Amino acid sequence: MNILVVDDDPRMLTTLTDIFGEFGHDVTAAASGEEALAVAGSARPECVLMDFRLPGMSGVEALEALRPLLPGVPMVLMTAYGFEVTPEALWERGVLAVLEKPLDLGAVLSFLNELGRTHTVLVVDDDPLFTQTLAAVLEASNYRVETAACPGQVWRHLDRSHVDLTVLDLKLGPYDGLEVFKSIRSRQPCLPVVIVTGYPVECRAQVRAAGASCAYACLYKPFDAGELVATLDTITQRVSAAVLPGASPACAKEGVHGCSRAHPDS
Amino acid sequence: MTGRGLPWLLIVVYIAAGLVVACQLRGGLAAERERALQHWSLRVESVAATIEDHVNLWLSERRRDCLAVAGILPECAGGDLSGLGARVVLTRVKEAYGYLGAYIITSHGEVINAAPGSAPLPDDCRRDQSEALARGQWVVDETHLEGETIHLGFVTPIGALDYHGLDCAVVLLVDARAQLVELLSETVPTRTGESLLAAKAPQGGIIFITPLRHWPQQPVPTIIEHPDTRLAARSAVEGNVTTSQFVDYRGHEVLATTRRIEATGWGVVRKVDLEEVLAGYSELAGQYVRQGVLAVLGLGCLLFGVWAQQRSAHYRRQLELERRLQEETDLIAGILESTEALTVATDASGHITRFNAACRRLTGQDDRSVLGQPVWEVLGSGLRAAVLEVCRSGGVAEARLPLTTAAGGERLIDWRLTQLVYPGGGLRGVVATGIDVTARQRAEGELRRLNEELEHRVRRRTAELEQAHEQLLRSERLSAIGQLAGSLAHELRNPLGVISNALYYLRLVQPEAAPKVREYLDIIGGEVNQAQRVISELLDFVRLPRPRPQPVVLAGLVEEALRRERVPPQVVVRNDIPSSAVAWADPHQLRQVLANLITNAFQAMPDGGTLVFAAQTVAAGTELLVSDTGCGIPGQDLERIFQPLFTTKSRGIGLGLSISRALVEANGGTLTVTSEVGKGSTFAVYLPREEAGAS
Repeated sequence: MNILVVDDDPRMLTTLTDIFGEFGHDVTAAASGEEALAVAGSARPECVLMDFRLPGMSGVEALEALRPLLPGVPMVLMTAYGFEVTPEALWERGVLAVLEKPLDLGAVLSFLNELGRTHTVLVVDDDPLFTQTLAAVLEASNYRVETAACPGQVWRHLDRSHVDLTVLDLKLGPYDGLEVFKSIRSRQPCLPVVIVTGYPVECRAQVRAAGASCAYACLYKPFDAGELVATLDTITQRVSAAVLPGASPACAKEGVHGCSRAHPDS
Repeated sequence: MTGRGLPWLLIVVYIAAGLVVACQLRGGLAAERERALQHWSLRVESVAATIEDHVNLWLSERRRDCLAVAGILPECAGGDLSGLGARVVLTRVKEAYGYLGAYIITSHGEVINAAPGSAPLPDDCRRDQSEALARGQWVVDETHLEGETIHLGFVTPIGALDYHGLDCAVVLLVDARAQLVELLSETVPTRTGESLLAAKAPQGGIIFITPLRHWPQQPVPTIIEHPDTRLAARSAVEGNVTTSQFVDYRGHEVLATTRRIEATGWGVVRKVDLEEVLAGYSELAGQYVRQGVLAVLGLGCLLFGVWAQQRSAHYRRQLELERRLQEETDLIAGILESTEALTVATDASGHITRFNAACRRLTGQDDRSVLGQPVWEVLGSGLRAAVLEVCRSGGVAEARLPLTTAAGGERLIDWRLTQLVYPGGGLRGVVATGIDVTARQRAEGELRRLNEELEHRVRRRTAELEQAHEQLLRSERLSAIGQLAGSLAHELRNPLGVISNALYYLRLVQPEAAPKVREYLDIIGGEVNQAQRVISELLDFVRLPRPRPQPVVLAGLVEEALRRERVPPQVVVRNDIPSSAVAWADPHQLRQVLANLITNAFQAMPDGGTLVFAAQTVAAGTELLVSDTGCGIPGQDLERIFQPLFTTKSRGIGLGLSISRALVEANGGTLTVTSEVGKGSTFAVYLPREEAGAS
């Protein structure tokens, strides 16, 4: 995994590079925000660790500047301060976590490990064509895909293998998607579920009920595959970040409970 | 002009005006009477003059007849006067001119010739003949009455002839009345106007030649004697030529004018009754008088009007004055009665003469019962001295005296007494005014009490301010510490981070290092953690994050805090908190507080002891008690241990308890301590049970 570490203390850069290297990560070190911007394009990092106080451009400014260059890349801030930073504001600006120095390296490493792991997505839909195309897209986006067309297959997958995410169609032929959703919730309360449906009006009540039961999100067919991937990426990042101290409460929630309020009407 | 003087003045003016009018009237009337007399005088005079002229003309005609006869006789008589020729002449004269008789007489009075039908010649004529012959000229015989006829003879001597040597004369005898009556007839008749001719009778009487208008019976008498000397006819026959007021033959007042006919000695009288003369005047006088009376009456009315008007104005003024006086009296009485001040007037001996409403209200007595009473018997015996003092020496006396009211209460009155004097001087009495100062005195007492209370409050508030000031100093001190902590944290955390990273790496790459190396790496790790903890504490203290309170189960929270601490083996921990104990607080911050307290407790019991957690419900909250059996805290340090940077320990910077107190207070609670040296300390965390209690 390629990590961009930005800190003005060269010893910090050295030690982090060495440690992450030991765990098989590639580290791109930058001593300032400007330098980070310069190398970001070529390095294509999958994660960014940024010090708060930097010479020249501040860490927050650098992250803001990096965001368009690295869309969807998780970004974590490091700080030696407690009080200059308002974590809430940073979380709102898309910072996944604010870590205090000295770093809890165990946590950071498990976060990176989790982030770099290939996640398994269970796609539940009775339309084989839809399932097939979605599987292709997700596999191209570095997800392992399992498919299920009926509730029975779903239970089998959940029992037999580790599933990180579920994409559930509310229309499952003769089966009630909402009932399936509730069963998943009862079996694995922490499993994030993304609901998709092609019948926004008919399913409004179901979607609302699902939202009340902490479905993660709801997408209406036909949807942009990129949108689904971005949603899944966000969920993955947040679930991974839950191990970090100073993660945003959304991460903590997903980390602990594995679910969040759905946004059914969005 | 006074009301009383006015009518007299008006009466005087009125009388004067009346007199003036009367005088004017009188003067006017006199002038008018004079004018009337004048007018009538002129009228009678002119008529009289005409009559005189006519009579004289008539006489001259008669004289001409005589002369003519005398003239022609010598030619016609043929020398014989007693002859026929002379008779013819006489006859023609007699016939032609209506004579009674025409005669030729001798100087002896012998008629030698006469016209046929001639009346006997009266003796008087003969006498006159003699006289005429003697004087050789025309003579008019005396007038005399022959029966009803008035004879008048004209005698003219005939110079050219004689009769036997005797001088002769022509005599013509005429009836004067018959001839003259026509002459005197009225040309312009008036109501009472009358003209008459009168001659003197031989016996002193008067012969009225012409008929009398008011003497209808004929013949006209010869008035022998008339008693009145003012008889107009007498005046006329006596030859007076005048115009005057006379009486006439009837005895009536007349305006008359008299003339004299020289040839015959007759008097001509033209008269008119004075009554007629003054008839117009009387009418005018009546008008004058009426007008005068009217004018006087009018003036009287006018003056009466003026007087009445003045009189009524005077009465109105009088009424207005009385009304004003009444108003003024009412006002003074009103002021006296409505003032809240007790007002009482006395005579010079201190007996009440005036007692106002305020007095009546307060004493409950009325005028009847107090007037004439000595003032000190009604309003308190204390007044006696003051009243006597003012009477004696004047000036103002003041006294504050109690007064028992009608209701039985006692009021305190401030009296002021002054002399009341007559306008001209001299002591009339005393006026006393009293103000009820009971309430004021009470208020003064109240004010004094309030002042004292205020002072007390000020002292207390000052103490509070001092305390606040101290607090401020403390917070300034905290602020300085905060800044220091900020930079300190940055400077320390970075190197600590590096050390921590390096340590991690070393352990990572040398998992099989020598035990001694591993021990030292652990020591380094432990010290880094300690340093990290100090810095975190410092930062927490400075930052004091905003609490996110929620219901917290205290027993669970204590267990959790204990799990994070390493409990020394010699210390026994007992958690007596019931599971029902709940507080409203930020669990993270409360855990931090507990961690602090637990650490302190462990440090206070280096030789072992018991740490007890308990909870009790107080007021609107829950009290969490953390007790140890350690060394205890000396009394002088009990408050100071909560101050920042105060520490009794060799390690630590002395922020733990001050942070703990700050955190508890931020959650709306309090942190207090009780301690006994050698026996241990108990920290009490009070926290509200409900959200409302949270700050």
